[in-house]
Amino acid sequence: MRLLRYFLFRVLQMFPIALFIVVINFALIHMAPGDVSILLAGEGADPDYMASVRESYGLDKPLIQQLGAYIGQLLQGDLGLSFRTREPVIDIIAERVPATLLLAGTALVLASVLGVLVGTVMARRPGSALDAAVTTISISLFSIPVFWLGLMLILLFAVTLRWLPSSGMMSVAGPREGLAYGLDVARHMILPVLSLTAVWLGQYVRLSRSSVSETLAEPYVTTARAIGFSERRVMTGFALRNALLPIVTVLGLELGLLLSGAVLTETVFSWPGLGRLIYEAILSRDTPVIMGAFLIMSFTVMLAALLTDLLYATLDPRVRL
Amino acid sequence: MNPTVIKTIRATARSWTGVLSLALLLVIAAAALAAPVLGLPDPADMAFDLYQPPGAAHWLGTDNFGRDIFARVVWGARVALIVAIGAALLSILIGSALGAVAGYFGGWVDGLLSRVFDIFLLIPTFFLILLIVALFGASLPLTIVAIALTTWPRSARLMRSQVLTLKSRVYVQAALAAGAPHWWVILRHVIPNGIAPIVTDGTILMGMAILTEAGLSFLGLGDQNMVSWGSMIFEGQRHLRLAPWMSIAPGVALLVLVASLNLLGDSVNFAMNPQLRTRGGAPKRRRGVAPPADEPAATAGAPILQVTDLRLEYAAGDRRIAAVDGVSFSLPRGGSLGIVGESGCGKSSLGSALLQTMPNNAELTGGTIRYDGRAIVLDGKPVIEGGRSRIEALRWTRMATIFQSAMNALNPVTTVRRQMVDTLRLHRPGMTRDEATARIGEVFDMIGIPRSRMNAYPHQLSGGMRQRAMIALSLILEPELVIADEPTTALDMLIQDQILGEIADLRERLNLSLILVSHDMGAVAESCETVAVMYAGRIVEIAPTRRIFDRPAHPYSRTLISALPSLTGPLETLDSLPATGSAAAEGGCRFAHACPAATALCRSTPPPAVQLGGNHVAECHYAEEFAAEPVDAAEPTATEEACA
Amino acid sequence: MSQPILQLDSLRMVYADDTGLVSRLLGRADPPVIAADDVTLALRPGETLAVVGESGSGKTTAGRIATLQERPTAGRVLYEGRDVTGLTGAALKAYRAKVQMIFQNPYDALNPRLTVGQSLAEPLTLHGLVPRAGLRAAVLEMLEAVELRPAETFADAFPSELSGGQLQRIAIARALIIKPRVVIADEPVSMLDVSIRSGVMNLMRGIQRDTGVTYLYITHDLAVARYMADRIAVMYLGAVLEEGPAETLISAAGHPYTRLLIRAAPEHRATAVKRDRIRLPGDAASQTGQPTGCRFHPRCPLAQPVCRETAPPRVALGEKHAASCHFATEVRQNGLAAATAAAV
Repeated sequence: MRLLRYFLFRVLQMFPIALFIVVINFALIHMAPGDVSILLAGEGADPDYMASVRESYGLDKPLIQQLGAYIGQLLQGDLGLSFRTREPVIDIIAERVPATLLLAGTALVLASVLGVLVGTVMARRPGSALDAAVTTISISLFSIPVFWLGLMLILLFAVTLRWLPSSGMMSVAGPREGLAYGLDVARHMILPVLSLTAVWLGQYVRLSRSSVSETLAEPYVTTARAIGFSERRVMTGFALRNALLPIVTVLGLELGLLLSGAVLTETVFSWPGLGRLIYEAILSRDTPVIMGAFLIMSFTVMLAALLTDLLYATLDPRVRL
Repeated sequence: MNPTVIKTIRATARSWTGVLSLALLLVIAAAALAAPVLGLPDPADMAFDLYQPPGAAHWLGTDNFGRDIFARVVWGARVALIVAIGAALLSILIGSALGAVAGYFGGWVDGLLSRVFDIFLLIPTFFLILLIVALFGASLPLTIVAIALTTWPRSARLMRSQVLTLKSRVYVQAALAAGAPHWWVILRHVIPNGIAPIVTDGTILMGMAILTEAGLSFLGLGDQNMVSWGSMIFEGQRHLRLAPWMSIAPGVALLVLVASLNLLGDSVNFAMNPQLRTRGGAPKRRRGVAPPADEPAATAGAPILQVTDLRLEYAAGDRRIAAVDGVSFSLPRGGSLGIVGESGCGKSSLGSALLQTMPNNAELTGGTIRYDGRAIVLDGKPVIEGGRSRIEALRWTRMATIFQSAMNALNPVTTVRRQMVDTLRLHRPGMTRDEATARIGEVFDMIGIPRSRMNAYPHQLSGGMRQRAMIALSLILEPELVIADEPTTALDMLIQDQILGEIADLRERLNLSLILVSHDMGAVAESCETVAVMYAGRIVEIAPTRRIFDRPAHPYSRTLISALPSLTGPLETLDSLPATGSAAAEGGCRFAHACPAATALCRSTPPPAVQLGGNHVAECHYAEEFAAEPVDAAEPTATEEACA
Repeated sequence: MSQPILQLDSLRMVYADDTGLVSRLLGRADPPVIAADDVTLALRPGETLAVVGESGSGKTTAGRIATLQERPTAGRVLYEGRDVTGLTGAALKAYRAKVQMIFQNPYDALNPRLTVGQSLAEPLTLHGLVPRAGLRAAVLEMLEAVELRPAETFADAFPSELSGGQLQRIAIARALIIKPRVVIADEPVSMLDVSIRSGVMNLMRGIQRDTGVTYLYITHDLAVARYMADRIAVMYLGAVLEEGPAETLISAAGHPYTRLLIRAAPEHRATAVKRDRIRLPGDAASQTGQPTGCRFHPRCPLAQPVCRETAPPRVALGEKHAASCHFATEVRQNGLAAATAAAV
């Protein structure tokens, strides 16, 4: 019940943010050089469609009414039609979401779990040579351009060694169902997941290293040791439990940043997800798709932030529900 | 120059990552600046030797148009640095200004601006940049502005939190109270003290900007008129199989530049806060020793705790500081000892040494601790018996502590009951949860916490209740010896008195032995039978309580006693130490530099432990003379003369 | 009797938690914090008035309002009889030249990027009191006055090179360098080591003897208040419960709270016999839910039904001595023990 109230409270807080994002989008369209109707309908669209776009977006009315019309369109789930395929943008995006979720989700879980593990182990030996080495490696890891790392992995494992496929999500003539299909997708996933995980891992190692070492210096950890709890219990029950709080916060805040890595990785590996879609849309100047993707990404990040907040609230009794 | 700035520069220069990254950055910056005069081939010059692998003519090979890749990488550094510096500067300027305004003025201004920062943080910035560049066309200035537009909230939030802390700083308050206008305070006090982390963060921002620009170029949204590493990789991708060197070189350049920036930021950050690197950690494994073969069996008359010549050192950088420097005392069963001293005298280190809970940078370097006649520390090493150190068998079941600041001494994310149940079941494995809860109820009753508060989290309790909960936790396993480290500091007067009273009651009822560590002579005077006064790592005087207050034999104890104003006694001018003592002398008495009665002998020879009879010992050359005169007849000190 | 130099007249200070619209809609707004409820104090030229109270009593708020660092929700601040509560601009600056402040934390008192000399010169520059050429001499003279010798060395030192006692002496010097008439000192020695404390207190007393400056001395420690002050005001939950000449107040307090504070002070001279402690009901005071009736009744060992219902009047107990308690006269005569016996 308290959690529900808190959830409602946070949802209400999201409304101004959502509105702001929509307004930014609207403002950008109108500030961009060129005719708005062409941006919305696409160059060389047939006059009938152009007219219907003008009508539905109220392009001959004052700006504020146009904004109203725009929001109205969005509320109906209408993100317009793609220039290229003339399909509704919302459908195109929906089709691509699962692939992105699969790729980014896998990498995120791997990077965060591995990162917290390594970070925790390093926090136990602060100042050691290993700790210094891991710190330097982590910093170098998140300094790598993810798309370049992808290319290098392709060069090594696909081009030179020929162990793994270099692009796509499945083999052209491969199986389409059952375990064999799953294994095929998994093989295709290895390289993109590896690039993303490597780049994200550095962040999580650094974050959990500093967070855990901070809690290890807290008086309640000293209490736990004085009581005689084993070092393992001190770690899990006292240090890690408290260190998770800042980790969860940053996880939620940086999701938007992470998604950019996913787009670039999908581009390199021709992974049929949202990122690849955006890339294709950029190449063909398909503005409705780019705008639609931006909106969907923004709402996804907002939703993720909301979920992080809830997770935080369940983890920390000090959050006022 | 300011000492902290010098210290930061020195510390950065000492770390090899700092030096290496700075050197790399200088090389890259020099190359970028000097690109036009290096005599390199024109990076846009197309030639017929396409796809040449790296060699003597072209160090890094040529690309699909026969352009020299080395030249292009050098010219690409210019773009990377322009983007980095431009975006970071712009972001810091906008961000710090807005962040400073939000933090300094607070109220609705802060509410509104913080909301804007939050919104920008929630927007997936890379996609916003994508959208802007896609809609407005690709050009370097636009890219820089677009990047800054999405990174400024980071600087703003950082500046805001800096200003929020700085605003409550006493020197800022004092400047305002002195009549300084807001702009003066911001320029002279707030910004100079708040800017360091923002500048450090600037290196991270630069790295982010470079990676973002490279990502945009890689997606084909780079400025077509410039040589950028991202667009080189964009082109190289299509020729990956034929000419992998086309993508390798610019990628390595990106990695080196961004990693250098991030490593430099990291080194400076650590140089400014050296404790970040070594804080926390798991307890060091300390080499143990076997119990002495000739150890006598425990006898009824043995003191419960006997400490002989204990030494504890802290490692601070390269220096070693002796916090406890040869301390000896013994505590009879059921007895109570107060350890009094001022901040930094080693009293808390001594307390932590007794339970072996000292932090990782502290180490026992000598001395013996015996519990009930059995050694638990020998020559500074833990005594191990049957594969288990002896202290482990004593922890909490026989020897417990009450820590200061119970706010943080209890785990904030579990309920008070849960922490106590866990403690009980750790040491009494057979105990059921119900039995444990019943026992907790008993202890709560004894200490005066309503049972209904059992399920509260520490933050839900008031300061006094929290301290009581800490006491309950320490007594839950019925220990014989309790070490209380400043148990009432930071509590209000009435509560403080109540808790000291409760500790005294419990001691009587449970026949506890007590060590009370405190800076407060008054608290100790009433709760302890014996008082030890610590100064600079040593017990300079130890005596039965009445005796030390009536006839203190060490000038430092005399100062501590006569420096406290009395509430009900006669009103007299207080003694004090001079404001400016000379530096502590090597070799002589530790207190000589501040002692109003120091002589040449004190400055040259360490004082012996003078036995004054009746368990009264003082480390002062003139202990007997001092003990002969009661404290109220003490001669006036320098300060008093100055005031008169 | 001389005219008071500084008066706080029925000050009230309420901090309403500034929560957003959404939280107010959901009824999640925090209750307002009443930091000062009804504070009336008067300072006479050349005297020291100590304000004693525990954390949350409003003593610090009273001090911050007296220096106009904060403006009260209601009530007035009077300087030499003139209302200064709403001063701004040049008039406020002129007021600040007359009423200065010394803060609690010496380790934070000086800008770490400035030398001691620069910090000390700042108030002089701000008020244009000394020509630029004379700044150094004025700074050195002030350092001598707070016994930091050699003054040259201290003027060129950075704060990180000095000890807590030295820093607090510099903070005092900074407050006094523009020769204010009133100094509000908020717990100036509570963060210092005992052996250093008395030196700072003696210094402040000496300066008062020499210059006739007026102190409002805020502290939690009655013994310190007695040492420093001519008069003492005891505050609790935003109001003054008792006020009187220092010796009178300590020897014949009329409010149970004052009596309890006196009892709770540990007597360090071991000649005193062990005190009996009274187990108090209730816990530390909370600033949000003000009790009805007497604000101290939940913790008072003498509380009667009337205390729960009616706010006590201010009872005059003698010259300049008054306490807000229904039983002030009885408590002054019989103390706590006798009164407890009578109440049971």
